[in-house]
Amino acid sequence: MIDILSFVIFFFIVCSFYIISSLGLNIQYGFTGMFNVGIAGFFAVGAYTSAILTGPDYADTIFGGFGFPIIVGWVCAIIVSGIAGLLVGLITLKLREDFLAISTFGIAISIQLVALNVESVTRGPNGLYALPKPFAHILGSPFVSNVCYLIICIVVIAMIYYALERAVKSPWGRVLRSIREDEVAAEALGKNVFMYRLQAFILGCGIMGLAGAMYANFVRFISPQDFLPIFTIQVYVMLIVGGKGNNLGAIVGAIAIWTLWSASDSLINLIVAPDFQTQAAALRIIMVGVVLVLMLVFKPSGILPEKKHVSD
Amino acid sequence: MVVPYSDISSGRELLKVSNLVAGYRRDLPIVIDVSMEVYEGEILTLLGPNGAGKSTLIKGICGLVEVMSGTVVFRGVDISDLETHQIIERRVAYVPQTQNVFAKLSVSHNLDLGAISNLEAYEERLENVYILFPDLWKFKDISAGKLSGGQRQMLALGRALMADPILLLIDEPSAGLAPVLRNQVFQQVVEIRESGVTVIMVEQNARAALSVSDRGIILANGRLRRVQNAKELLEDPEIAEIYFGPGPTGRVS
Amino acid sequence: MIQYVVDGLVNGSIIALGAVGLSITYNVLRFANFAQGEILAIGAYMSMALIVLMGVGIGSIGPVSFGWPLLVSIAFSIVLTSVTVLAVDWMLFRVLRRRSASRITFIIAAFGLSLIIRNVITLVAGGDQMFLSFYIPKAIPVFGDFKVVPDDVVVLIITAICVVALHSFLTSTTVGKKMRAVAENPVLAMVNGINVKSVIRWSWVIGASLSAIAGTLHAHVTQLDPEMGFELILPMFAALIVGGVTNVYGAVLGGFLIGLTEAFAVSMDLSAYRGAIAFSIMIVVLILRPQGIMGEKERDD
Repeated sequence: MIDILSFVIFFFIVCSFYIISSLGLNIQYGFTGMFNVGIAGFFAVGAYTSAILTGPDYADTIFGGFGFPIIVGWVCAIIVSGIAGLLVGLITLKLREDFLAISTFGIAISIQLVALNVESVTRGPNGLYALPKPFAHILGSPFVSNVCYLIICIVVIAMIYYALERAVKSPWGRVLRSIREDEVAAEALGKNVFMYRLQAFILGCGIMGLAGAMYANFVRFISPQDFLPIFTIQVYVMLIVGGKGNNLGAIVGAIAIWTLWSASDSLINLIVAPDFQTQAAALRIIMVGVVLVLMLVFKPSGILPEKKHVSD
Repeated sequence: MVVPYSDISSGRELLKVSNLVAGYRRDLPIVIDVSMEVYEGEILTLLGPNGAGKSTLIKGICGLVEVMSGTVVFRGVDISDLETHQIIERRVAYVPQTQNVFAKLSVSHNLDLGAISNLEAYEERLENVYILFPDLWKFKDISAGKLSGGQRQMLALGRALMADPILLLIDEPSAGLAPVLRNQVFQQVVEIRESGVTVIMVEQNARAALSVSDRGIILANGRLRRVQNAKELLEDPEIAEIYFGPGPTGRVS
Repeated sequence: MIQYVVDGLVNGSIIALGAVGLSITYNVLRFANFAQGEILAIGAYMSMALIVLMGVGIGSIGPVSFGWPLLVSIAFSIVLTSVTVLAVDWMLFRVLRRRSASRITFIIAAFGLSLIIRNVITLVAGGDQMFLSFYIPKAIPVFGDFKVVPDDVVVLIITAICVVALHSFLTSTTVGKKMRAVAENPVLAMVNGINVKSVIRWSWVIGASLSAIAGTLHAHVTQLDPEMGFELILPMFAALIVGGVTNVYGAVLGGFLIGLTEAFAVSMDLSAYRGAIAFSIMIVVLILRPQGIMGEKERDD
């Protein structure tokens, strides 16, 4: 019984990181129409920031051993990811959507390359280990600390959801949507389109960074292999399936696709012999890709389409 | 309301539009239940206020806008479900109001492309176009984007003529042109008709257009309001008041 | 030093041919095809499959370490890759076109597609790298001290032939002229009696054919790897942008420039960062001179 519960708790904790990332993407892509293909990069920035600040002293890195409290790690992750978003946004947001996509794609790859090669900071492929986890010492029980972690995740998601719903219904949110629909008209109305897009971009990146930090302090070990483009695509599938432009849709989509992903893992492991692990993994990814394409063709607005917001 | 007319060049029906409903989106028809005939050799002008559906109607005829119901029959063949390039191949030509030349290509290149669907007697047609529009010969190697408004309009017309059309649809040929050039364009339309092409044009400059046309059709709110001999329309005081307004350009209030 | 330049040109050729396909899709179909790298991968794996099927090995012609079997397999790969690409267009992109989907939707679909293709290749061919052939980097003296690897020369020759063929296709054939018209203004092209759907099909075929050649050459010079598409897509986009998005020859020039840049990075011992360097150049061009070297300022449409 405890085993099943453990599994469910673990499932929802990891799902939370995706939910938070989807909510962050929703601000950028769902509400403002910015096609950020670098999600994995900003997630990584948040993860590494928290890891370096909260982690132990490693012999081979130049920073480290700060051992800051986890909350500090997380807040700094938001800030550093936000700054990364600012820098990237300043460079790329003036570009048209396809160039924005290519640029953010390249940036995520570059961030991963930096993580892999700047070993004096990130320990390269060896990764950063023994990261602290909140409530790890309570009762000495992993189960209890996971329950606590799940509670933290739910609280964070609730806070973000509430804040984003408020933001979206506010005048600021309305401007974002008008930019998405018709940038020229928004510009003609005197709105500084670039500033609004930049703000939405930074906000989204900060949220993704938080997800990364929460990931790092849960799994307690990160390496550049954790931040590959497949993550970016997973989050996009989640948002598109759930319904872009709808925060509840982002959450529903994340849960749906994560369920599909996990279930297919178990299912395929039952059916496929251990020799064919690579092929099994490929099959799961094909499935996700097909879901994305089918969704785009048949129901592009998602399970929960965007609500018509009444102007207030 | 159809009033009997006369003075039509040949009287043979070339195009028959029946109960046409057309628009860009299924839920938003712009042309509503329009029926009309076009006769061989005539110059027919479509008039009406902005948004009346005049441009949409001719786009519907040449397949650029979806025909939702009704039919368009050209020379006895139902073309309402055909694709634009198939309609063009049947010798219907269309001159859009904007973006009607390939700006990055030279004048002669544009004319070449005009003939690409029908390469027979290409040399002869090219010669005829240069005779009709001598300026185009002068500027034949200049890129179309560098031409003046009036020259571009000539190129747009010339390009359409390169396909040796039987029916020519023109969307606001005099738009954006100075009055002198406007009259020149209308004269060129008359010359085009002299060479055997039937012309339907959409125009805002009602008075000037009607003065070179055989008949006028008035559309408003997507529906047909009037079909009449051009001379009679010009002399009708009621029409003059509504459609020709106080000034000579015939702006609608 | 000279070897780095030659390596740069050889890799540059592959990037150039792939970037041409990208350019054609971009200008005629009007979206950034993130799956273009996978089209090269399909071409490469098809060639491999054919060589294996033929069972006569890869052959050799004189000092060149491949022979007619590879050339024959490229020919068949061109056909198979084109058919595959047309099928995908028919099932996916044509449906999106009919719906007048936004540019972003096309790009996301291309992303999804690239993921699917990459993993189908892994599923079918396994995740390991494979050798198409044994590229022997043995340089042969040509004159004096100047040595060159024969395979490299052949790759460059094949690329040159492709570029010349492309040029004559675009300027002399009716289809080529129609393609240029559609690239400039699809509605006006229709109004000129051009069958845009047919032009779209031709565009896919030309792009796929060049990509099949490029992919096979890449596999010969390096190896077959399901990830090869992913590795090539960023350099191809960089080539497209640096050379000039609106100009197909710009893509060729860009390809060679990016190839040389990456070779330069390797020569400076920065080979881990090759991708990032090409990418940085692309960003700089996007900011300072978005139309690239040979492109023209674009209208927004």
